[in-house]
Amino acid sequence: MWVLLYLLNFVFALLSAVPFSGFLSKSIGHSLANTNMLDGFDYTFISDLLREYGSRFSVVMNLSMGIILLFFIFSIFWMGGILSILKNEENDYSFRKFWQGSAVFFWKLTRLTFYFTFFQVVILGFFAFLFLQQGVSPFEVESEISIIKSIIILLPIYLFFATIFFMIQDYAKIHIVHDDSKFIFQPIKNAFRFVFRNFRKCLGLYLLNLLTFAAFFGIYWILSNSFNSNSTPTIALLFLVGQAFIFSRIAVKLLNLGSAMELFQIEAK
Amino acid sequence: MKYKLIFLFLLFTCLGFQSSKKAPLSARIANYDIQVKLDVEQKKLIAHTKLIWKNPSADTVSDLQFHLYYNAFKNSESTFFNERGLPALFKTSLQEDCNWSWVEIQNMTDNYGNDLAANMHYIQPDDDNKSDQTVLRVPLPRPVLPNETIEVEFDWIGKIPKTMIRTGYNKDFYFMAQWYPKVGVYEPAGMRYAEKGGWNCHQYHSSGEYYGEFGNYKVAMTVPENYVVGSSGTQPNTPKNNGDQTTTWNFEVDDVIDFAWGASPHFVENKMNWKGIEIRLLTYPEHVHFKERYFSILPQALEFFEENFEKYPYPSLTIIAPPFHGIYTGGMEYPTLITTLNSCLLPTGVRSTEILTVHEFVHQYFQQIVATNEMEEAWMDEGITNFYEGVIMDKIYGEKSSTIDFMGIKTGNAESDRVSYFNMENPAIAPNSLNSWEFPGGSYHTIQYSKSAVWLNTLKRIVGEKTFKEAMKTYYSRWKFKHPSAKDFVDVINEVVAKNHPEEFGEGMDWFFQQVLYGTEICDYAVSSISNNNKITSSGIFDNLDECEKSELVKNEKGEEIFISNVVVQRLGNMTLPMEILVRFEDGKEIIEKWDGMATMTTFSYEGSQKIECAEIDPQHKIFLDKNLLNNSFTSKPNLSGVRKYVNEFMFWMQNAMEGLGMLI
Repeated sequence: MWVLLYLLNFVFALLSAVPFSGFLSKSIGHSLANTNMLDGFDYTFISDLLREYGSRFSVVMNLSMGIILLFFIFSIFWMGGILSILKNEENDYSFRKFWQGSAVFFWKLTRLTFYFTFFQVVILGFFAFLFLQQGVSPFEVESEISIIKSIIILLPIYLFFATIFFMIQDYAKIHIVHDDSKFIFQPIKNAFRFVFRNFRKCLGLYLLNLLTFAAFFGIYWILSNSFNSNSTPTIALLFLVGQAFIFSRIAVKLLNLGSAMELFQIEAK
Repeated sequence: MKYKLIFLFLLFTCLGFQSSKKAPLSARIANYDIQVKLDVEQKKLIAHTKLIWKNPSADTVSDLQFHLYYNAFKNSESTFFNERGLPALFKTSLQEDCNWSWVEIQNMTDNYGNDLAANMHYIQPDDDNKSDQTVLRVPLPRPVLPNETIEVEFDWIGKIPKTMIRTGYNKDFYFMAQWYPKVGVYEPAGMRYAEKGGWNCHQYHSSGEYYGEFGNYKVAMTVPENYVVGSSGTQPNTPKNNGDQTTTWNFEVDDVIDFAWGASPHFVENKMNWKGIEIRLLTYPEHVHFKERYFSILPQALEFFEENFEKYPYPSLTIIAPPFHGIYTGGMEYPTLITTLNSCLLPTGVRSTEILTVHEFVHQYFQQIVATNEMEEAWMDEGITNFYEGVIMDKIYGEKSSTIDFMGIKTGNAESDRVSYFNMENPAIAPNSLNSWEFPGGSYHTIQYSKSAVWLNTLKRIVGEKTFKEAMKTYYSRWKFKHPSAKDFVDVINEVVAKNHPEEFGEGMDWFFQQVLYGTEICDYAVSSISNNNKITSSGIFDNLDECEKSELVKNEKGEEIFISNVVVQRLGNMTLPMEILVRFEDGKEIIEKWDGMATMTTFSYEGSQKIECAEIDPQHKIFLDKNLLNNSFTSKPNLSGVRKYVNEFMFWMQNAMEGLGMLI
């Protein structure tokens, strides 16, 4: 499943990378300026490229946006399959089980995604409102220090609440797959109840998984910055490092869902 | 022996006395003695001015004209607000709370006792907008004869705006710029474009800045006793406490075109000395840590100008760093005083503090000393200043990272000007030569700042750094403490270029200035294709119908195939510049072609055993004005290593974006 999810991610990304490569090759494939790209970010190069060939580039970008959206929808679809496999009640790890779970829970998980996205927007909007209430205009505040203080105080609180809702969403997904109830409000309610009953365990587990992700990102950051990718072998090496990070990112996602499922099953007994 | 000692003592005393009385640097036409009281309760300036004005011409001058800049904020129909619209932030304050600002002269007399106030009236030399009261004409009962001096005294009150553009108050921060009735510039016949003598005193417009006459200033500011004052000039004495909870600060400065000051109870003062020049920094407590950045960059800018032009001629330079609530007054230049902007929210890699400090300092030379008319020829100060800002910043921080160097994002200063200019919706919207208020579609800033810097950069690269440096130094030396026009600038450049490069540029660079300064042409040259075809013998039927000649590959005596190779170059823009084209063959041999750049397309052909590997137009990257640098070169075989790198990164970020959005599921 891990490899399958990685391959799906890779293929979807490739769908936009191929036209992007075509765009670059056609626009600047014969230009010596091409080598400027090897030295990293080049403002003049990027500005000229976007200005002079921007219409072609926007086609590629629109396509890429479409692909991201499509992948998002498919990700909802796959989530049912992932959770069905992780539920693991019949020791059935087959593709059949995966696709069956994907199909069965798609609509419920779509609705759940919609509701929780709405919750996240409301939380973000609420904290943005609180932030703006403190004032950002030069006529309202004494100095930018008060803006910085607002950010320092509000940002962690916002992140805390956003994390709680992401966490509840994870347990709501598990409840949906586990209970297989007709409506999703009961699983959401159960998830809230479960998280608040086992708050320390749930939060600890979630933070541990976040930390794991941060560790993988740190390793990627150190590795990718340890050499200059300015030749074909180093470009290939950077590609491998990047793919290793994507692979680990998907692993953390599965780890998060799997560990939450495990916690749920232990506590439910 | 004794007499000798007395003689030497007297000699040194005289020399010392002479050196302390420095010769005037300027003609000192408009000299001010101002006593002003800052009323922080009423937000008013209550002042008395004595103006000594010298007629610089052979004309008999029958009036004086004054700028009353604060009247631009007096009503919604002023030319300033007509052009800009009422700022959204101020609408309530202005329209509902009636916080309009103004300046009013209450009386005026000359040194003959004549009452000048009776006949003074507003005029609108630019647009005839009767609601605009930013220029005051004062008829003189006794005209000023050629080279004669007149003394005028008047009381006036100024209502201070809430930080508007470059000036005003917010909370207890005050910055006083364009704050006093300021006499215009009388241009005698022959000066700049004047065919006959007359006042150059434009209304206050939304775009464009100022034009001032040189003179000496003595200003005494009375402010609440807990306030600290920062100002143009130096203090001849310590501030005097008046015993009524006010303090009077005195400042003096000679040979300047304007005077500005600021006051606040929260200013923290830091000082440093650079080669006898006192640098005084006034910041708010939360910005004190920026001190090192100011005191690091400013001496480097001073050093640059001392090396390339002349030593900074004044004894002091004051930096006022406004607080966040005074942000609208920041980033401006006045004689011996600059305002900057900084914010604790910005990381060190965003070099706005350094950029603004350098920019406003460069204005000390190009605007305050070489005192051009910013209303009519803003490129002469903003463009030249932006250019030198780029030169200094790029030299110190690197040409690819002198503006931003933060989290892998790097931008250079000079390249930012180029990007800014070409990213305009229409870079050909206006020439540099328009009056500031005539620029269409908000194009003033980009054309005057960025475009000018880009073509100055191109000019430097075309004529060579040495010649350019000599020309600019000559321009500065010839026109310091005077008022040059664009024509004067062009004349100096032409003179030095013709002297140094008589063969190459003949009479000078008029052909260049016609396009970049007075024209709107866009430059874009491209290498559009390369071809390498085998040379073959002729084929077909020629003299004898029975003999059909077949084509064959032509080879040289070594048995190598011969190729006919072509490089096609195109002029895609309407600007014409002489161009060099570098053609490189597969064996590494290089040829430099010269092209006058006039035709829309030209082909360079070669015959030999080597194929062309690549061709590059403008290989020394002289033409900074070229709109598209990506099409300046062409390789016969695609070179995709850079493409691969970007595709790799694009794909990685796509994968992360897809996974990142998946968090919502």
